[in-house]
Amino acid sequence: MRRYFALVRLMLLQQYKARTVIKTKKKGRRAGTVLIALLLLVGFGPMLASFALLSYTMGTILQGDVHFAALLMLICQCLVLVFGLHDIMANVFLASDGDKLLYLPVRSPVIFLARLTVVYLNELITTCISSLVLLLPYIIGSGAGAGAYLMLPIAILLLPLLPMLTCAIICLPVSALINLLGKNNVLKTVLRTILQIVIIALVVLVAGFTGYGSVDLDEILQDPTSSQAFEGFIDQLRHTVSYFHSDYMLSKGMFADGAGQWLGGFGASFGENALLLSLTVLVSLPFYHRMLTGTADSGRTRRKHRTEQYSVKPVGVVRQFMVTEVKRLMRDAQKGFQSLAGMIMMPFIVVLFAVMLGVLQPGGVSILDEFAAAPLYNVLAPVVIVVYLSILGISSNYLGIYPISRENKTLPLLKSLPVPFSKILLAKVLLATSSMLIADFVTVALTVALLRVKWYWGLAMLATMVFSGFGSMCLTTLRDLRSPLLGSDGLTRQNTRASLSLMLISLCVGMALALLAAPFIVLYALVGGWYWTLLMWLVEIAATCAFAVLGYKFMKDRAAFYFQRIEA
Amino acid sequence: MIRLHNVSKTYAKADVKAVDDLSLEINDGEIFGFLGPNGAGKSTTIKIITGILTADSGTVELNGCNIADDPIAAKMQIGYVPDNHDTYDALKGIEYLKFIGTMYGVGGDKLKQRIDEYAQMFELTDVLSNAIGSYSHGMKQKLSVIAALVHDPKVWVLDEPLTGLDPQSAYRLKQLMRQQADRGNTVFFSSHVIDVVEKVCDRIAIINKGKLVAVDTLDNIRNDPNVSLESLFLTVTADGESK
Repeated sequence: MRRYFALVRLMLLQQYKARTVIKTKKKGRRAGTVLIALLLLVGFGPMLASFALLSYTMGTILQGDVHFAALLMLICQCLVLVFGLHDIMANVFLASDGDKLLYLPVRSPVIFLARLTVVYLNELITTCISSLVLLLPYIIGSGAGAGAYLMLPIAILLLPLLPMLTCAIICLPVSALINLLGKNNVLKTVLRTILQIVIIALVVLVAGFTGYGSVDLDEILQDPTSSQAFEGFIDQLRHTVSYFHSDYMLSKGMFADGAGQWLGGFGASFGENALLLSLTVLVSLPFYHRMLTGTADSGRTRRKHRTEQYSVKPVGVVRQFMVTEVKRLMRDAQKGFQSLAGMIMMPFIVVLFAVMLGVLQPGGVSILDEFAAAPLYNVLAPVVIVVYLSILGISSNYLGIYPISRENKTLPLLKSLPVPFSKILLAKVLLATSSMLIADFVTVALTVALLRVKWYWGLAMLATMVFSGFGSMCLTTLRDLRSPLLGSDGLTRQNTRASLSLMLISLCVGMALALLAAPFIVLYALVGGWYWTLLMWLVEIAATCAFAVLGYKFMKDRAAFYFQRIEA
Repeated sequence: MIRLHNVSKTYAKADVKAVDDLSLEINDGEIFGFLGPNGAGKSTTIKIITGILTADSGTVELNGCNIADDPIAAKMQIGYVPDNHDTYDALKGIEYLKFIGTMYGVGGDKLKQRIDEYAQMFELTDVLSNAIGSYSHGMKQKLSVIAALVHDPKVWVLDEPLTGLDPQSAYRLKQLMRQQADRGNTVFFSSHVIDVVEKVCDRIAIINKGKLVAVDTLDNIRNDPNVSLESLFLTVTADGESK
């Protein structure tokens, strides 16, 4: 156990103690962090409050229905998968420090468990926030007794386990198989991304399975306090949540009438999670050592001695940088996976929206049908989607977030080259923009196809997303240049301050887009006329275009200075 | 020629100076050995010379070109072999050399000819089409040496270049250093291997705790020819400790 705890401590230190290597004054950094945190709280507060209010209202209506509580738990777990799948995959299966661990007298399942623990601790933050926003108001609204409040911290601790361990059980054998595929790292990266898509598709299926789309809106709008309106939905839930038995038992314990039931629910859920953990460790036994060895091998055993003819064609510096960067990214297990997985994040959200709105429900009238019938839909929906994806898009554009930290230990090489930093920067920005363009295009295409947004508004969405994404990327690049995190062995989780800065930039962009659109939406609702929508998009495009130009200029003017002072 | 004038450097999260008021002049056609115990400031000095780090004060000139004023022109003259081998592991050896060639403005037949020549010299030709990640420590070192030479630099800066090299490659590297110096280029290298420094260098400097404690030709440094450089090194650096 001592070795296990020592490993966990080491991995946590590796994650959170990566070096910020800049020559700067230390005073005021803490105050800045607090300020950013406060701004974020103010910014995201209303959104979280609205979720909490909705949950509270459901609690008052359903009076502690255990199925709905189980559904809330399931949503918390889906959030763990959606936001944490990158971490789980990258830290557990693609960690590249096998050579530093394999010589230690520690068995590979212990290393595996230590990695899982570190990921678990990270995901606990997501569960904690989502539970406090969704579960706690539901408990309060339903007027449950002390047992429910006692069960809440237990639920927070247990909830990340199901998605994490299920993901591990699926990924272990598949990742081990992918590792056997020879030395084509690009193919491996693509296959790992497909694996992630499959897991995400499972999440989408679960979401569709709960029967959101079959809720009868008309009936609810007529009598929102009547529990009759939710009967069909609850019936569907009854079937669904029973498949997630540990959540169901936890929920039953939470809203139990007596201590016996409470203990029974807790015991059953705890036991089932423990069983799942045992199963995961059992599955890890034959695979994980092989996977660790695979990461340490780096294909050395497959090195072939052969003389190959090659040609040297003159290439421009920027193009050479871009080609080299793409090769480095796509052949690196962690970085390649992060880049591709980030690109599918936004399209996935659109598909998830579609499922939630009942697009894939067989037969009947879906929520989307009801929404799309309203004249305001094609004015409001594209804006909501653009705002939401602008907030999410920045953090999913891996190439644009950490262009300098990504260089890690090779940064001294970059600094020693006789190339102006403006060219290096241009190459990095062009590459990140290309990946962003692809993701934006697919996202908009899916929005038009699945969410019934008119194609011409889709084009306006695309222009807005591209410009706002580019401007935001310039700011995130500048942030990374100001305080890069270097010296990590694996994929470094950004420190708290960096994450907060990213969230703040995305929040500001999202809010600005929403504020710009709001007057036009109001005017459209009051006066009518298609020209309000056209005007709204023209303003959005012009504003984001100006943001992109100013952002690039702002970054370009300061980038060389920040790059110079990095102490690589 | 490399000229350092009153160069000082303190790292962001350190209180002591890594390099303290260092002044040096390394002439054309000279092999200059830079000695010092671990943490003495050798690598920091080299990083300042190559433009990786910026000095807090003082100036660095490479053939009359100030690295702070015109970093690109100054860097064009340098061939740098780093002490670690953190390079682009995902690239193939040949891809990396082409990348470096492009950065230094060397391409076409000239680059191919130099790659072929040096790869053959260091017996790396057969593995150039393999990923650098699959190379051994010594092979990465050889690749770094080739990368530092493909643009035919006027100033060759090597940080612990002999670490990890097999005897044949070490011998060839020493020959190359002599060839570069004979052609009028400047060779500046740091090492822990005193024997090598003794055999290869025209002049040496010893640095301890960021300060220069000795600089001269070998003969002048040890007035007594019976005194070995090793004992002198230990004495000089021990003096630094006691101070």
